[in-house]
Amino acid sequence: MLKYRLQIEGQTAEVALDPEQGLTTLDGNQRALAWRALAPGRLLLELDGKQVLAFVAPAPQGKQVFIQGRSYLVQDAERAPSRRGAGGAGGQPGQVTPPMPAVVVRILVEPGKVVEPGQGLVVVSAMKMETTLAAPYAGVVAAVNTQAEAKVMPGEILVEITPEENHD
Amino acid sequence: MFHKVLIANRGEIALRIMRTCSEMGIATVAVYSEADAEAAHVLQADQAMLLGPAPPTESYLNIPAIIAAAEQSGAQAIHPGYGFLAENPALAEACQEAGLAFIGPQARVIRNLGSKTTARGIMQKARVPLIPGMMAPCSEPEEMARQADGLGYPVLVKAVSGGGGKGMRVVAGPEDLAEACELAASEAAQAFDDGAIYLERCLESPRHVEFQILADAQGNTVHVFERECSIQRRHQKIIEETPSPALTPELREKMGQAAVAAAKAAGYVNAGTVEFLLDPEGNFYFLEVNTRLQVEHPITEMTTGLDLVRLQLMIADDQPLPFGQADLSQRGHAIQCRIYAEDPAQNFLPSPGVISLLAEPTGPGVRLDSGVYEGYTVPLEYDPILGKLIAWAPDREAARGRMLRALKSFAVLGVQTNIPLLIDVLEAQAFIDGQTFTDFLERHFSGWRQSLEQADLARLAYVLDELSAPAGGEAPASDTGWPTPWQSLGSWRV
Amino acid sequence: MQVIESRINTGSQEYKDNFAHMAGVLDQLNQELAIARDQRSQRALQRAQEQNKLTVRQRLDLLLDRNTPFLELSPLAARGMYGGEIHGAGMVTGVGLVAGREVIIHANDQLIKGGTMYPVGVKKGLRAQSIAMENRLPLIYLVDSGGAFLPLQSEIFPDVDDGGRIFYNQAMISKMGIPQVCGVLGLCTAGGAYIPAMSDEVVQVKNTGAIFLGGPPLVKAATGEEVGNQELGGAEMHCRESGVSDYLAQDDAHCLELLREIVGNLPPNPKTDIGRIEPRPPLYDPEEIYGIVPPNLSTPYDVREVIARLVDGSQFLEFKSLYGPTLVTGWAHIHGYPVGILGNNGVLFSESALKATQFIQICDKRGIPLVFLQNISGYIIGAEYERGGITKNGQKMVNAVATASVPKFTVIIGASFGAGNYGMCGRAYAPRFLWMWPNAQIGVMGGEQAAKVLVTVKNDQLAREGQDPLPPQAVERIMEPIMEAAEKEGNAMYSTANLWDDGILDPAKTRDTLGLAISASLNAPLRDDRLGYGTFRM
Repeated sequence: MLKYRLQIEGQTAEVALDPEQGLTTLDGNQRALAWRALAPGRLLLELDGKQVLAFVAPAPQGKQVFIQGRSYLVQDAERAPSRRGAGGAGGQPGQVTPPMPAVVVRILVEPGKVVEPGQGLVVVSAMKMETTLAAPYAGVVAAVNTQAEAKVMPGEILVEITPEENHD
Repeated sequence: MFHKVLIANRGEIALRIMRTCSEMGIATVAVYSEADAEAAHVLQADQAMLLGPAPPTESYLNIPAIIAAAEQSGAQAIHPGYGFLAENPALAEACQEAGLAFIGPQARVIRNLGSKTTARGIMQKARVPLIPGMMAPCSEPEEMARQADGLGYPVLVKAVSGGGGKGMRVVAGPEDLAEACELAASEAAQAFDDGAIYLERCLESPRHVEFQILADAQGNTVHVFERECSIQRRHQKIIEETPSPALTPELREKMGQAAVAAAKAAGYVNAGTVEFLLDPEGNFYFLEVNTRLQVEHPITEMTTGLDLVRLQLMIADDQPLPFGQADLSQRGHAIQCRIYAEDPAQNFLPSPGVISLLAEPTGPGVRLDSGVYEGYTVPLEYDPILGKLIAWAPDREAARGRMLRALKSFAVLGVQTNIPLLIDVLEAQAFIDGQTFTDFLERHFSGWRQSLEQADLARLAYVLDELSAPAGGEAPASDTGWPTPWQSLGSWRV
Repeated sequence: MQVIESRINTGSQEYKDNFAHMAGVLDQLNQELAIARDQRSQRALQRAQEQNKLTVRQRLDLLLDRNTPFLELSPLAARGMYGGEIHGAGMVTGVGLVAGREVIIHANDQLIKGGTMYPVGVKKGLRAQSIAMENRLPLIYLVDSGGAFLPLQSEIFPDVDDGGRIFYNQAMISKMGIPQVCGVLGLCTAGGAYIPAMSDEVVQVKNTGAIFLGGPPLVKAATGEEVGNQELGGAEMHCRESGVSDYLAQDDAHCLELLREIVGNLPPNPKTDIGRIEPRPPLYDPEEIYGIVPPNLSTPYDVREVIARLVDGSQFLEFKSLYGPTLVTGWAHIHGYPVGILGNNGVLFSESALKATQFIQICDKRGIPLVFLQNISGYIIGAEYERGGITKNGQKMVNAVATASVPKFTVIIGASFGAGNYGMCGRAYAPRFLWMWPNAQIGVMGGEQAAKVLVTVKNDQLAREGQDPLPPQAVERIMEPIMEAAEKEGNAMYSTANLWDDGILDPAKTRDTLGLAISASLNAPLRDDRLGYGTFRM
């Protein structure tokens, strides 16, 4: 019996699966399951006799699943990306990173500046649309790691903020 | 007819134009930026010419480079598509100077209609109904305040050279007017190199209804009926349909005549679109003329059987229209959905990336004008449109059902798309009832989140994918092509 | 290659009886495995929870790639020893996939006496290191151990294969260029401090992980200095000041995530190509082995029936089938990997030994791994056979087995007696892995045979002294305890508790186990001393 705790849009639910018996438990209910992988990323599911096509592709820290017009990012709650980076000191909150590949338009703060939650720090642009990255909480800007016109990627820490109180 | 045409555009519209060219035996030349070396339009063309680096000003907006590409490739005409240089009179002028045909109206017409106040002047003379407002730009705050009082609040501050919602502000009361004018003017100056602004009355809950027009060089002008494009996000249309559920045959007749009058008054030649706002009482007002092929032109093609690109090429080749107004009729109902790489739950944030999986809908009455392919990287430099899905059926309800069916089988993975939102819009009672106004999304879908109806199945699919894909997938240690037992045995234990 | 045609009648009473017997034995085995895996004191569990620590099984789940095999080694080590509570000798070792890479894991079980090291635990740890060295598998240590179990320190500390060997091996493993990565999820005291220290990269968990040569009680006793665990050897200190640790983890899960990243960052290690072909399942269900193997080891059966349920497509190219028929030799594939198989079909005669010698040499020259299916009561004895040179022919086989340098794998599927154990690649002949089936027996000879030998010796002695042979009651008195001891000390449970093998296998899982093991063995290049042998006595 395989057990997964999977998260979609912040909601975690358990999926249990017995591949040999063709049984699955969804939302506490046991259902009969059959499936075939038609091609990589293309699955035909049959749940209690009803067929449905599902499309699955790897996504950052999970899988993107498309079923009947709905598209979700599904993440393993047990292996959810650690909220912390690799190996550095402390829990490393206070990081500001673009939500998508983008170009930095303007930097609105400098190191040492005290910022309020929601205060704009960096303006990035992707596909002609500008987005302001805001401070997640109050604190002091510890470092600015980018410059205008730099191409930046998700995960890249553009501005580091030391929180007002250090919750450890 | 031309034997070779350069398409000064990218993405789905470049591909759309190339299809007609190929059907007519015309060779195609694609142009592209460094970011687009592997774009679908580059791969599809008979010939592809590099314009320059990714920023549009150095590539798709670079007129000298485009003219040079046309000359070097031996193209006889340039089709500008939509966006980029399509409504820039400078390209039309440059074509003329270089002895190339420009597939669109003359530079003078583009320039006149590009200025909102000049266009209003022309339309006033032709007795086309206008939105109450100013006929000339103004930078005097007191004069603006007086005009606003005269029009009655809310008023709309608009940039004379504006478009796409830029340089536009809704003003609820006199206290906000001065600041709104200032902001709009500076935004417009930045975006269009022209800070001129004027005021119009702000209509409440209008519909956006536009008429396709065609005019040949011999002086024949017809309209090819309307398109309703009220469903918009950030002033950009996302769902369009024809016929409009709001038009009676009489109103259609009246608006069509107005559209033809508007085109004639402007001296329009080639395909264009006259946009109107329609208020709940059935009054319509001239909004602007788009001097190009519209994004939503396919729904007109589906209901009239015409190929608008073919007609554009014929008109540019000085051929007369092969039909008159009386020969045209609408058949059935067509809906178009624009498919964007964006996240509608996060304020339509663009979602560039690699399309890792693409399953396209097909079937009777379904047309997909796509600009992407599986494995393609949606670049972050340009508009995130992936393509347009068009459904045709004998009536509106059947077309809606067909569109829903197509959207639900349109799998795009690797990037976020607006497909889930489009499905919800099409399933909304207000849409079913035809109650579509330009504030439709704000009114019915603000704070929209995707339904979690398929979440359980999605979780299951996640697990099954883990099982079916050889595990340990992070870095396959396969030695000779077949998965090792470590990869094939699943969660095996002693 | 020819398909082995099975002659087994799955409807026969014999098959059903055999099946029922093996199923019963397996039930017992699974119960033992469940106890070893799950039986933990409530107090230890509670303490772990308070410290926000995961159990060793949870740690493994997070470390290993999801839905991939874990080839656990000797899970019943130390069974029945030290009061019977030191399950798995207080640790979990095994081969698994981490970030797509085949690795060997060495993890303390802190729920058993705080993860302290018992003599068999040291043996188990050293065995894991040997496997790492022989197969060039990266080693991951998950350390959470109070150090040596002091009451038994004399059995752990000084000898060649005692505690010190762990760190000697770590140095040698490092010299061989095999990565060693260490997660510190609890105490690493005294000698234990060297496990992280001698690893390439160390991840230490904040608040619970601690590394020091002398713990706070020892420091206080020695110098009077009063200092806490974290101050003395905590993660913050070791990551920021001493440099003993390289990565700071917030908790166990974070530590394991970092270890996965570290393994994912290792340079690729191309596996040895031995000409793998597309894997195919056997034509016969491996579970049918249950019905083939008789409960009594002395009941003969055809080992080809077992081979047919282990190899791809049940296809087997039998070598020299008409010569020396008490040993079956031939080529097949397991999970696509080519193998040379030797399986006993009776006592080894000179011819069988010569055939084995030739077959082993061919496989060795061709770089084909060897699989030994041991079910052997020994080499043939008697005047005729001694005259025929059974000893020198046995020598050739032992010589070939010992010096063959291709990966060797041994499964004891029945009897493993006397020199037969040696000739068929017993533990001392360095197979990469060795497993036993639950019905297997191991010893110098069978219990009854040994008892009879002793009775004969006694009677000979009595005869020399001119006395009568032993009366039947006396014979019984001599035989019974010997047979009892042989039975107890020769069964698979006793063997596996003493780490004479790498674990007891469900016969139906033998094929997959071998496939996993062969794949793992190919992380090492074929040894370059392939062409040498000792002298063959002719």
